[in-house]
This record gives sequence, structure tokens and C-alpha cells, in this order.
Amino acid sequence: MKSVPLRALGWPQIKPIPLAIAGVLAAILPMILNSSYWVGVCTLALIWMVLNQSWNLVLGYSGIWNFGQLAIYAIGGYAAALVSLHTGLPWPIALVVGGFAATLVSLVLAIPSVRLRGIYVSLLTFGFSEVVRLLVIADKTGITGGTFGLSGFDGYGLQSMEPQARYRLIYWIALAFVIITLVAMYFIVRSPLGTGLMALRDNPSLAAARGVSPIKYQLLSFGISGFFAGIAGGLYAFTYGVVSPSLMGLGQMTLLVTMMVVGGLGTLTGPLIGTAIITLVQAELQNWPEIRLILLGLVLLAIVVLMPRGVVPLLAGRMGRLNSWMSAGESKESKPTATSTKT
Amino acid sequence: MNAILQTLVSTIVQGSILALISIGMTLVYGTLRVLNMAQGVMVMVGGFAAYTVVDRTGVSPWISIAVAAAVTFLLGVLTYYMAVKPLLGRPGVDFEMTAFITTFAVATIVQNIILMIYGPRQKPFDPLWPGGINITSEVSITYHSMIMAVLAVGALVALGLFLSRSRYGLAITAVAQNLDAARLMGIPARRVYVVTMGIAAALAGIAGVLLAPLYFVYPNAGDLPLLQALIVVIFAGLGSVKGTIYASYIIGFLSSAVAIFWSSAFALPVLYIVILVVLVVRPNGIAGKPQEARL
Amino acid sequence: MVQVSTTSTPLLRARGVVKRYGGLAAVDGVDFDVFEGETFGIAGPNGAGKTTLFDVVTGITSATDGVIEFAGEPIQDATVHDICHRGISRTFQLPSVFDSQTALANVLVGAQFGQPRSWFTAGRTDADMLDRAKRELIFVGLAKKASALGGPLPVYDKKRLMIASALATQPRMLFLDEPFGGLSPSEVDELMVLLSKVKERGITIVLIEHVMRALMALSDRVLIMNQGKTLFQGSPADVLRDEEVVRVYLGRRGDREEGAPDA
Repeated sequence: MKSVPLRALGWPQIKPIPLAIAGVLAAILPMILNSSYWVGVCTLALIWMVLNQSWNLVLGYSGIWNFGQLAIYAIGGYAAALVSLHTGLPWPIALVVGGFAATLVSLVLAIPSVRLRGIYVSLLTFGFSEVVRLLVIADKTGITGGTFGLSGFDGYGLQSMEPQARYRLIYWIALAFVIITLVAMYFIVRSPLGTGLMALRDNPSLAAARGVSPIKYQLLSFGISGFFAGIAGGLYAFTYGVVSPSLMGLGQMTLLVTMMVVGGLGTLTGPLIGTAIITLVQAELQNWPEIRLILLGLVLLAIVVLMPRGVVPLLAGRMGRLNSWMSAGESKESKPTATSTKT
Repeated sequence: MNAILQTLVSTIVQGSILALISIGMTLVYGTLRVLNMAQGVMVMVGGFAAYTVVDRTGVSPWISIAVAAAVTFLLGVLTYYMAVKPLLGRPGVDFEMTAFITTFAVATIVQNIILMIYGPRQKPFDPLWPGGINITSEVSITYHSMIMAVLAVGALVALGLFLSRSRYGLAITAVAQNLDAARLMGIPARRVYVVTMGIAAALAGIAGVLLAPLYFVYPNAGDLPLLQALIVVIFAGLGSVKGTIYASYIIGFLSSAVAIFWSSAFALPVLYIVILVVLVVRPNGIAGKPQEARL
Repeated sequence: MVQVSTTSTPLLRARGVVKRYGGLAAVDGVDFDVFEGETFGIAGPNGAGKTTLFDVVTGITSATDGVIEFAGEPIQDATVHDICHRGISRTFQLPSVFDSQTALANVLVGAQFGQPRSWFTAGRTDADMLDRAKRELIFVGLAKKASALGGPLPVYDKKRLMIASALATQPRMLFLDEPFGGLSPSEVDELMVLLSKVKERGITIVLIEHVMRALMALSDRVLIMNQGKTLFQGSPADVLRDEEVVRVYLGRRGDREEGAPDA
């Protein structure tokens, strides 16, 4: 059995040095950035990282074309905001309530989705997202606040703090959730659940013939993904003190899908790197909103056409080739293996 | 009674326009397996092309229909070369998924270019024929609505004749039915793709001009038509031309009825709930084939 | 040869199995029994309904009519994964693996999901399962390619990988759809050795095969199908003597010693 190392599974490996560097950099970033504008931009990027990681579980790892994630994210945000507004419970509880509300909606959306064929799923979920948005806009009961959304809730309850310290603290809260989500995704990908989901994505008939129940595990992936999306929504609500229908919508969807596609779907670090890159580009172009979206569309188009697997697998592939070239003397089989293409 | 009559009139007008827009999506899906998310933008661009021509040169709105069709035809062809052709025959990549995303990207690009040029304001567009007649004291029908229905149905009939009689039309039909067999018979599949994308876009462009007097011309004018067309094509089962026409009128009826008897804000949500139920019962739409596997 | 007593209850019992696609009956009333420990071969011209029969038994498609019993329980309406959990595992005619996963990860799917498990254990990685996956990968001779991705593997490796992941589900019965198709003569020899080792483990095998040499050597009993119906059922030795089989399927004797009659 020694002849088959565990590494051969091709699971994502922890690379301690880059991970430590990235972690420290992320932690001290708000100290380096002296402008509260940039700390705010980075906080939003972190919230999007939580959302994109959750989306990636369904879209990338499970291969289910779910384009309804923004509605689930918004529902999490609204639920957390409502709890905060009406009950005065502490924010972590409101956040978790938002997460569970989102899980529930995600599961409801999953029931038709797992029974349908690819393109129909994208139509259904895309439409679902729009319907949720339109319903919120049309809402006259005052529960959701209609077009203007909800505001006036406590959020993290840090209003008494000095602004700069507050922005930093909010940044670190978001960072903590990015790390929690990343750790969760890491364990999911390496667990039987991850194996089963990727098997169903790669070859549904073979996966079923090997005993993977499509409905059971895909529902589970929707549930988990919904929970983290809901948390992301709650983070947004508490960071900005407002939730509105603008959380959803086509422009927002283009932005987030571009992030995931740029980074690489179905990789652990892809959503993180893609989000970082696109957020930076977006922030630089903030004064030209039309050009911003045109550019976003062009980037999305170019990435899908030129490198459909995203930046991360491409870079990892280069690294893998370098590694295998360096170790070519040891082993005759120097083809790039999965160990090196998944990061 | 008046409300019922109103619904009936509205069904015919809405259904015909919906058919015009969604038949293009179905045609493109049938031949290329591309769900064209840029179809809504074509509706919007058709409106803008017509508005620009009328505004600048003062020609009759009737002529602007032809201009809009030509402009959107070219834009459809351009979409093919930008978003679809580079993906064809590429191994290891889910073509339907990537094409869904690239056409969506094209839609974003085009919409924001228009936004940059024209700004977000709604622009008025004159009806093709002002005025109308009163059927009863409360139910009236504008001449423009009648023209909309007549032109839409006319375009559909013309499309039907084109598909069943002309050389190119038959080639499109053949490719949609069986790509390999069509290739073996010497049909140049890629040229068929280009023409199909162009025609589909032109149909949406015409619809855009017809809708312009009702909903104005503005950069987001294509969003609602896209969502409605998506409902129609899911309901019909992608790729089924006949199913799409039936579905257009059914969806047209439902959305008119909800709008008139309840509120227009709930028309789309109600339709999506209907679709949800349809898909759970028949996962491939009303005209699609049932699934085989016991997965 | 494993001695098979035909009086005992069969492990798999199929009666009047029919599969219709519209007006066409791909499988048209087939009866057969497979007994524990034996190797049951299925052959016949293209379009005879062999693969459809496999698909019906393993749940990939539903039977229009008929009864299929496994270990005494009806399975004709069971789902694909449920049939796998009951102990029937299969391979596919076209080499099909999980393209983006390594060879070892491919086999692990079978090891982790081959037995029934509830969803809340989906986060637990069991060392036993990993060991089983490694064992089966070594068993089929792919240990050296454990970390290679499934997609780019050559046909022979993919076929062995499919068998390994099927074995990792711990099946009582293994369905092999043309395991020898597209292989070189030396690969056919190697695979025959491998399959007889599978047989020695006490796993019941049902295989579709065009390569008559392999079919005859491995099978204890043979079913020849034609146009969805049973043409012949009996011992491999009798097949070659059956005039109808020779006329319909094998052609003139001596014509096709080796390889596929119509592949």
C-alpha cells in the first residue's frame, strides 16, 4: 500500500508558506492602507469572497448551473437585518439566523434544480433571482422596505467606536468569516461529500452506478452553499447598515460570475483570487461606471474564450510543469498530475 | 366582461410579440445549442436603432423597422463571432454553459455601450399609426397594437415559409434536427449558424421597434422581454418551434390576466411559479421528451 | 471452472424483460438466471439489445415490462445508486471515468459510496475506504498511475480503472459491458487474467463481449441475443454447434476465429 501515496488523490494541499504569507498580509492590510475608502473596498471584497466561495461549491464543485445565489445572499441579509431590527439579539445570532433562512430558501430552489438538465437549471435559477428582486421591489407591506430596502438596525453595534478603529474591526470580522468559509470548503472538498459531488459533476451516470445518490448529495451542497451565502448577506447588512434590492440584479451577477470565472471555478483559491483581482480593477475604475461594466463584460468574455478554467489552474499548471521538470530525474512519469493542477 | 375582453386583446398582442422574441431563442438553441442571453439586448438595440434613425433623419417609423432589423441582424452575427465561434469544437469545456456566460457577457457589454452613448433616460417613440378604436365604451384597442399583432404574426409566417421553403431555411431546419446528418449532406453548418444568429436577433430587433411606443426606448428595455422569453422557452421545452408559439400565447395570456385582474408587478413572479410547477412535473417543458434515467 | 448447481435459487432472475423505445422493442421478452459465482456471457450482433438489457438491470433506464429479482428482491424499479448498494456494479461500453479526478480518487468514489450511507456521515473520511481504494487500484495494476488524471488515460487504463472503481463498491455481481472492446491482443490476454482473478474472489460476472475467444474462455454459460430476443442459452461449447447462432451471429465457421464478428 505504500506504493500508492495519499497525495495521489489530488486533493488540495495546504502549502504552509504561501498560506502564512497571505494570512499575515490579509490581517495587517487595514493597518497598511491608511484610507478608510480602501479599507471599505477590501471589506466588501471579503464579503464577496465568502459569497463566491459558497457559490463555487454549487457552481464549480457540483457543476450545477445555479445563478440564483444572489437572491439567497440577499435573503440571508434581509433575515439578519430583520432579526437585528425587531429583536435586538446580538449580531452573531442574527447572522446565523440569516444563514439558516438562506439555507431553507436554497433547499427549496434545489428541489426542482437537481431534477433538471443543465441549461434549464440556469434558466430556472436565473429567473428565481429576478423574481425575488422584483417581489422585494414591489413589496408594499413594509416588511422589506421595497426599493429603498431596510436600514436603521444596529449592525455590529460599534457606532460608539472611533471610525478608523471601527472600519478595521469590521474588516477583521469579515476576514474571520472568509477563513471560516475557506476551512469549511477545504474539509468539504476532501470529504466523501466533495468526492461525490465532483463525481456527479464529471459523470452523472457513472457516479450513480458507483452508489452516489445525486439528489441527496446535491441537496446537501445547496444547503451548505446557501448557509454561507446567507452569512455573507448578513455580513453585508451589518457592515453597511442597509440591505436593498440592489444586492441582486444583473450587473451584480455579472460582477460576481466574472470573479469566479477569472479565478477558476471548482478550485479552492480561485474565488478568492478572482474576487481580489476584479475588486481591485473595479475600484480603480470607480469614476467611470459605464466603462467599468463594459470592461467587466469584456474581461468575462475574454477569460471564458481564452482560458476557460480560470487563472488559478493556469498558474498551478505552470507551477506543476516547473515542479515536474525539476523532479524529472526522479520519476519517468513527468506528466502534470492533478496534485499540481488543483490549488 | 370588459376586463375579460381587455385580457383577450392583450393576450393576442403580448403573445405575438413574445413569440417573435422567443422563437429566435429557440431557433438558436435548436441549431447551435446556445441559449442566447443577448436576445433581450437585441430588443433594446432594435428600439434604439429605430429611435436614432427617426430622430436624426425624420424618416417614417415604418422604414425604421427595416433599419432596426438590419442593425440587429449584424449585431447577432457579431455576437456569433465574438461569443460563440471561439467556443465551437473545444474539448473538455461545457459548451452550453460557457456559451450561456459569453452571450451574457455580450449583453452586458452592449447594454453599457448604449448606456454610455444615450444615457439612462427613457426616450419616447411615436406609434406606427396613432389613434385607436373603442370596442366597448371602456375597452379600446390602439391601431398600434393591431399593427403589432399583425406584423408579429406576419414575421412568424414569413419565418415559417423561410424555414420550410428556402434553401437556407431548410439548411437551418436540417442542422437543428440532426447536425451530423446535415453535415454529411454537405450543409455548411457554420454558415447556417451565422445566419440563424442573425435572423434571431433581427426578429428581436423588430419586436423592439414594435414595443418602443409602449415601453419607451432605454438601455434596460431588454431586461423584461428577456425574462419573459426565458419563461416561454422553458415552458415550451428548448428547441421546439411549435411549442414556443403555443407557449408564447399561453404565457401572454397568463401575464395579461394577472396584470389586469391583480397587479402588473406580480405578473412575472406568478409566471415563474407556474414554470416551477411545470418543470417539477415535466422536467423538459411541455413539448420536451420525458427523462429516461432512474437516477 | 466453478461448479454451478442450476437447482439452487439464482442470484439474479430476469423474467419477460421488455424495453420499448416508441414502437421499437430493444429488448423483447428476455428470460435468464445468473447463479452465484458463475460467469454469464452475453453476445449477439450489434443492435441485439445487449447494452439496453444491461441498462435495464442496472437501473440506467426503466424496463417497459418484466420482473428482475436480485437476491430474491425485485429491483426493476430501484434507482441506479440503490442497485449499486444492493451489490450490482457495472462498467460502461465507452470507457467512462471521472475525467477531472485522479485514478485513486476515481476508485475512492466506489469505495466511499458503494455501501449505503446516510448523508450526515458525508463529512467523514474513513481510512478503511481509502485502503480499499488503494487495494483495488493495485489489484487492476494501476498503482503506478494512481495520481494521473482520469480523462487523459489510454483506453486500456480507463477500462481497468472502471473495473477497479466497480470492485471498490464491494459488489456481489459485476456487469461488464464489452471490457475487451478496442484492446490490443496482448491487452486482451492481460485483462482475461485479471477477470479470472476477479472470478476467483467469488464475484459473479455478467459480461457482454464480441471477442469470442475471451467470451468462450471466461463464461460458464452464454446467452446469445438477436433483435431483442433470446437466440440461444447454454454452455459455451454448445454455442458453436448451434446452427441458428452460427447463421445469425458467428457467420461461416472458421471465418472469425479472432475478434469481433461485426465490430
